[in-house]
Amino acid sequence: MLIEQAIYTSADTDRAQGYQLIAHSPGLSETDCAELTRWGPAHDALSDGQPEKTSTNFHRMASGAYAVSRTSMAGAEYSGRGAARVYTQFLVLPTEVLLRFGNNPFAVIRAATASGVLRTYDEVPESLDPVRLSGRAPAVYPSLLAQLACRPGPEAMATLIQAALSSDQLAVAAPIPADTLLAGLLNLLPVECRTEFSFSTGLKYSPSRPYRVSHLPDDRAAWRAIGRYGVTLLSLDTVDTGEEPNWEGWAGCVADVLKSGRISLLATQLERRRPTLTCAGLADFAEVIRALAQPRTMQVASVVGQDQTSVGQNAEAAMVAQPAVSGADQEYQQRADAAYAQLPDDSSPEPAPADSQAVDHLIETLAHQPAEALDLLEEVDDLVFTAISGDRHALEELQSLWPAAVADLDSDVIDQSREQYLRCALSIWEECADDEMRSPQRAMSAIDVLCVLFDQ
Amino acid sequence: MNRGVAVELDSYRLANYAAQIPCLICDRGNTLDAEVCRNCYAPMVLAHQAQSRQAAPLMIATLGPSAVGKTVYLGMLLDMLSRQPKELQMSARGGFSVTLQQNTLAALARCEFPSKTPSEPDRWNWVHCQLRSPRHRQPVELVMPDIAGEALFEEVDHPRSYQLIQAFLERCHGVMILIDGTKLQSGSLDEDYFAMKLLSHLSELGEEKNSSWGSRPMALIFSKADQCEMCFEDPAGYAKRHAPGLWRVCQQRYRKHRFFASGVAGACVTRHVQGEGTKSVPLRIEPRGIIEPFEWLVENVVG
Repeated sequence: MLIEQAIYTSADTDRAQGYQLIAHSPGLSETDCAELTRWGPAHDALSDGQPEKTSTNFHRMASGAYAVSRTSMAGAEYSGRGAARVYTQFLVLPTEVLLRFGNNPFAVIRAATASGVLRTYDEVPESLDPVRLSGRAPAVYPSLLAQLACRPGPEAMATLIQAALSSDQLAVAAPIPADTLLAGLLNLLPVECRTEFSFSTGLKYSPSRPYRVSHLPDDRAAWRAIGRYGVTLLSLDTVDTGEEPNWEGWAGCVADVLKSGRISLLATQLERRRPTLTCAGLADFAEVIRALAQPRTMQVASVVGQDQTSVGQNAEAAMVAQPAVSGADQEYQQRADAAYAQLPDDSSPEPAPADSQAVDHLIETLAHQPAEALDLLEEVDDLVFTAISGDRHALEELQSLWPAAVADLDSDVIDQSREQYLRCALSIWEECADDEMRSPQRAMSAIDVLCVLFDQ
Repeated sequence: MNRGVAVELDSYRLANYAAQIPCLICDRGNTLDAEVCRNCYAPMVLAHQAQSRQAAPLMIATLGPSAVGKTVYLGMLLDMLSRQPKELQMSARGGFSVTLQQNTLAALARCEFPSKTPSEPDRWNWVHCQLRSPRHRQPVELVMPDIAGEALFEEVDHPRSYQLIQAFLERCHGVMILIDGTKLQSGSLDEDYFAMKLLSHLSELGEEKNSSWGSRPMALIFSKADQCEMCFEDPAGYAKRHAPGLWRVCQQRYRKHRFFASGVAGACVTRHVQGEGTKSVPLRIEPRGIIEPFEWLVENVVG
């Protein structure tokens, strides 16, 4: 399925001068273009004027498609007034494509960057071609959750979730980068609920761009002005961990899971598709997770004792859970950092306790890696799975990135990543070549990736 | 024995929110403490200030494409009017009305042009002022926004994209349209087309005959005229020669129009700054033809 794209920046063109949609692919209608122009960030829209500053943005369009964009600085503005040029590339994704990436715009941005789709043109062509994004992304990145459980901590993340669920518009300040925080927020929500949260990680607040979640700038003097627009302000710098707050529903469940370190349990549950789930049903879903978090004997006791069919596995069955990825794809979608979490499986709805402990232990190890190492690992993961899907460009990128990863990351992490990639590749090979060779191309792609990873 | 006193219940304060304050520009109701209109994003302080006067303020629009010099022109105009000892004098109503002239003059003093006006309506500068002149007994209230060129032309291309621009243009009493004189001199027809599009858009606004744009005064100003002296000699002739389309539309559709030329920077140079690209530098401030178009416009609006 094709993805339409557009570029919004400042230029002197035949049509107009200044900020405008200077190029777009033909599949975008006039109405789409007008809408993207209204949401397009123009002069001085990035909240921090530093040249390396970027913003990831996401909103649902009137057409029903989703606009994922990245905004950055790109040289000087054309008019000679000495201002930096703000450059935004929009990707307009159909629902199905976004779902393939776990309804996670950050995964889309990573895949688009890795495949060369997202880039800053020196000379923007007059028209752009629609693009294909191969590959997919897992619903949850457990290492990110483990990282967030350490900093800013379970209390702060639960507060963020509670505030996000109860606010029409929320602006948040945190001691960690806004991209990481908002990626964490999405990862802590079921896939089906994520599209309800439009967001921007680095644009100045404007009522003409009504993102549901945005970030607060470093300058606290600007916060009051944002609050006057009716935006809920939340500073996670000052969340008090001393008192026992009363989080409700989903936020309380997330706090419990992050505190207990059983991230694999949450990740496994979030991997499953629940097509009818909305934010309104999150409190019920939280009860399911809570029941599963109890020891098995207690689950039985509570179900028998309370005679509540809406608790525990019975409740889970009632919610018509489906695997997030159907069929054979399910096997090999696991990432290296998520790899050790038990994959959802219709026949075994819960991971074995020993496996879970191993997974949680590994996640904890990853959580203590520096943020740069985790970013690198995530990037490698994205490339591996995109390359396995047959993307040659991703394979080339992987060839150059993998040696850097080997040099930077702990040997333990590298070994376990290799092990998981090998397991994943073997499962594809078996699937493609059991009785008769069905998808030789995909099997070969998997082998190519292994050759890179094992330096062959 | 204590005397009974009336104490307002705290909860009664919520009753104030039942009364809505209409936005001065789009007329939509807003709560008492709204800072900008929830519909068009115009500052609500304009509505609050206008309530203190019986007569509605005059509204004048300054229009033109991006980088034509609207901010520089308006900033310089306001600064000159606020310092004039005689003739037309201006006094700002509210501190926000001084921001535009302050920013413009501060930038020019640093040998820079003021930074670009953001496209978001909530970030535009507005001026609410009183004009006094020996010819008018009562001071005239005036409202002028500094509209971003990109937003204006998006509205022209896709009407109703910007509620604020549409509502303001429907209400305003006169307009100053800036056209880049240097681009016309270099043979570019873009400015001619931009101006024609804008005039065509304006002519479609105002449904009633007596409120149509055909009868509202329009000052067409060739900006940056310090770099093309010919503009100053005969602005109308310059328009006829270099912007024939614009000239014709004006003759056919707009009864009250006049061409002017203006310049703020006496001389400009271009320098290349590493990492920042090409930068235009005003070497000195030498305003010419700034007040005349505005004076003509006010004269035609107020009568």
